[in-house]
Amino acid sequence: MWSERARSGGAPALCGRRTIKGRRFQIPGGGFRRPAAALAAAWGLAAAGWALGQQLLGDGNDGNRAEPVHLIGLLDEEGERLLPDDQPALPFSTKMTCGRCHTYDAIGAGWHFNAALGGFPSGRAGQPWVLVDRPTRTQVAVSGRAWPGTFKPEEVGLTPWRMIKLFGRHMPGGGYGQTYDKSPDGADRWLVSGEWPIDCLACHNADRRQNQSEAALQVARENLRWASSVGSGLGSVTGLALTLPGSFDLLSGSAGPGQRPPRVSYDKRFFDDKGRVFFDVPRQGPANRCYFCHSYQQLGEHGDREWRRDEDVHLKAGLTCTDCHRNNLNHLISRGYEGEAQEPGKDESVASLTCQGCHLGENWPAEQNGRRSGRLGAPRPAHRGMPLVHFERLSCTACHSGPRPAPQAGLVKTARIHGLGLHGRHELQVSLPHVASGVFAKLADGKIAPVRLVWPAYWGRLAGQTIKPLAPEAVWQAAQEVLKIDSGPASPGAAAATTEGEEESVAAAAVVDEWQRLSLEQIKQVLERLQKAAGQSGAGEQAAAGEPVYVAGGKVYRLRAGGQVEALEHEAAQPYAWPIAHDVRPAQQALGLAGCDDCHTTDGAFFFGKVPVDTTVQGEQGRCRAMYELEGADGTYTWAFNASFVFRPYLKAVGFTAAGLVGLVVLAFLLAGLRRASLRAGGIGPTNTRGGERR
Amino acid sequence: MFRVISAVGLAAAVAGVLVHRLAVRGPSPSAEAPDGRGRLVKLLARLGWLSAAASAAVLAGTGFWEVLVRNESLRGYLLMVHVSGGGVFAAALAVVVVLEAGRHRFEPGDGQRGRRLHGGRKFCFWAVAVLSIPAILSLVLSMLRLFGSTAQQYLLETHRYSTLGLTMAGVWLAYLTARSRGGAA
Repeated sequence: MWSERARSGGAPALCGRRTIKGRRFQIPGGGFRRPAAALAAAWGLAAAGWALGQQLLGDGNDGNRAEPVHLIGLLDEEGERLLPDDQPALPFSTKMTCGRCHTYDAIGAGWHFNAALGGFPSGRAGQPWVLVDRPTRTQVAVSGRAWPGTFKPEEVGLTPWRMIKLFGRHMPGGGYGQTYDKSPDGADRWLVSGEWPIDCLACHNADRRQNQSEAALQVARENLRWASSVGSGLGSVTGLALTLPGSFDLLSGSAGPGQRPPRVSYDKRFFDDKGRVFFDVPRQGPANRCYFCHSYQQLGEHGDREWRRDEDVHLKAGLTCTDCHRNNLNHLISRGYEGEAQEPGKDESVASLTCQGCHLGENWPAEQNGRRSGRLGAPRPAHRGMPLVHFERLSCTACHSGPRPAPQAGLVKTARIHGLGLHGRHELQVSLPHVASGVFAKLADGKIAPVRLVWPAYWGRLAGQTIKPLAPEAVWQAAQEVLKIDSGPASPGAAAATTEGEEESVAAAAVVDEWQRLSLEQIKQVLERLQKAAGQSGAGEQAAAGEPVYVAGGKVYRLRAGGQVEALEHEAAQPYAWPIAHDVRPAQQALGLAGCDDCHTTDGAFFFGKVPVDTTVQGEQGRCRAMYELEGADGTYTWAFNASFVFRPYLKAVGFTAAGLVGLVVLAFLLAGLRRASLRAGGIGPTNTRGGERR
Repeated sequence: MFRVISAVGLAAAVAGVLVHRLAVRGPSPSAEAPDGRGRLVKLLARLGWLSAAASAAVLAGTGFWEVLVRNESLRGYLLMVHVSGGGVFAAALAVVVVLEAGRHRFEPGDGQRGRRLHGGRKFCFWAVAVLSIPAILSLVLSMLRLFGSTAQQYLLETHRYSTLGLTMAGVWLAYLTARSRGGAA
């Protein structure tokens, strides 16, 4: 029984199987620690097995285009059939229920899950998770993927369990939900919280009762294994696993004071007379499901101005997200950028699912270029008058997607970073972290694209040229009396709606919008304390650990020999930027449609717009970067080049006049020559064209 | 592809000039017709020649440097200089063609011995004049909102190849002009 769990030196004394209700019960995670590489290998083997033909009923399509009806029985995480009248009712397991017909492990290596596993291609830089710790003035991009500028969770002290606690609200299960048992804190909790398998319904359920906010609440309450049961709308759950000790027996344990074991009760109306449930899971998940995690809101379009915003032109035209962002069973969903098809593990046909793939066509013979279309015959852009150099240096999205450039970049809230869409947590204002939007920057492929960005702020240690971040907890422990703030959470860790009725207070805290900035004196004191803390571990270790520094607002602060703080330029202080592709505007609203002046002016926002530098340091507010800096351009040249556009009409006039004059002269002499040749051919001989006198 | 063709073309033009310089004697002193135009016209023509030659040198230098040496498309300050030089070249060439076309009219004796250099110079003059039309038009037309990406590509190729031909003809024109004057002196 679960209550048999014994604690031994903090490590779980669990074996792979337990018996519940007289039957074998698979302990999530298998009860042993799996390195990420082994996990990736296991998933790879599963995927290979699937590819070699060991397919389940739902792994492919027999060609019938009608949607299969998903009228199925629910299975618990042990694989036993669930009936609505079971006592006690157990949460259904998507891993078992869906995995009966779909190879779960092949899906588990999909894009939405494999960041936690490691060993998979990271692809183009994307939106990270952002760890915000207000007390230590920390704002740092975190990702399990190898995106330059982000830190791996473990580098900032985030275990898989803490990743779930902080960001599980916008995770679809799987990934960290199946690896958190490796971390000490997760190992302490996972028996009561349960494994969190991939919540297939989070993305695939077309039923509008699918309530991801409720699922997020269950995650916050550590009711991980119950999240799908609630999110799907099939049942409701009472109780909070977070109130239970890790050794609590969920089936037979008696609750002590303050302990509220989770209990699920199913809505019997959803079950037919055979105990089966109909799931509305079409082949293409509806955009509404994607939106829960892939939404954003511009500052200025927030609150009661939201109605003014237009949706992506493709969606309005009738397409949906999965028309372009497709995948097969392996769930390596196409992200839709150029070059993705050349990445390892990607099907080359994803090249046809990019902007160019649909609008220009792929793989047509060269002689047919310009006369054939891409997928679904998407309109082929004329780009009249657009010099070709623009296609070398700009991504399609630079002109067609995101907000138009403004004199000053704005702020944006995103669902995953700011926790949008959670009931009881309605954030009208932009809260931390500050994510800049309407920024144009040069990407790794050398093209300029619209991006969002965050300025890193963290305490770290500088060794050589590398800065390694310190976990906020360590900083807080060393210098909490210096870092204390007037309001907000008293200790590290973002507050979440973890208890019933607590959502209101969280909503109140979430509207806090600004850093309480640190003075140089505070930075100095914290650095001194961090230096002292490292010194206690011995001079050798201190030297190895590196010099304590604070990264904020595009600068690195460190102690000088005299005890003063100096600010340095350093690569690690540069903002982390990731490209955006949506919302796509109609062609009639593309940048450049009004002419070169859309960008090429001496004060045009595309080049000379200001990007505020988000800083946590007093006296540094109000600094901005010019957009051309992020675009990798030279300011003087850009200004001069744009200024030259004033002369462009004159250049055209000179060109046409000159070509016209030269053409007329050539024509005149050509005609004269023809006349002379004609006369000579007629035996009249050479003539003087002036009056026809013979020379 | 254009890089190879332009390298071969320019090398052939220069090599041809060198070979010709060694193999062929200069023209007879009386070969060139006397210039009976007014001083102002002569001055204007000379100014046109100088401007066209200088701007052509700038255009060729900036245009082919990126292609031949760096194997990249024209960009940055070189592009600005190139475009600025293009305007000067177009204006100067128009002046030269208008004022000098009559003096470069083909005559029946241009192919005769002793006048071949002049005949060749006239041919180069008209080659420059003719090739300058697509070279200039391909540039200014691409600035108008008339042509899409495919047509823009054709315009770019037209500009590249016509200017290559223009440069080759210009090299010969400069050489033959220098030879003509040398012979006349």
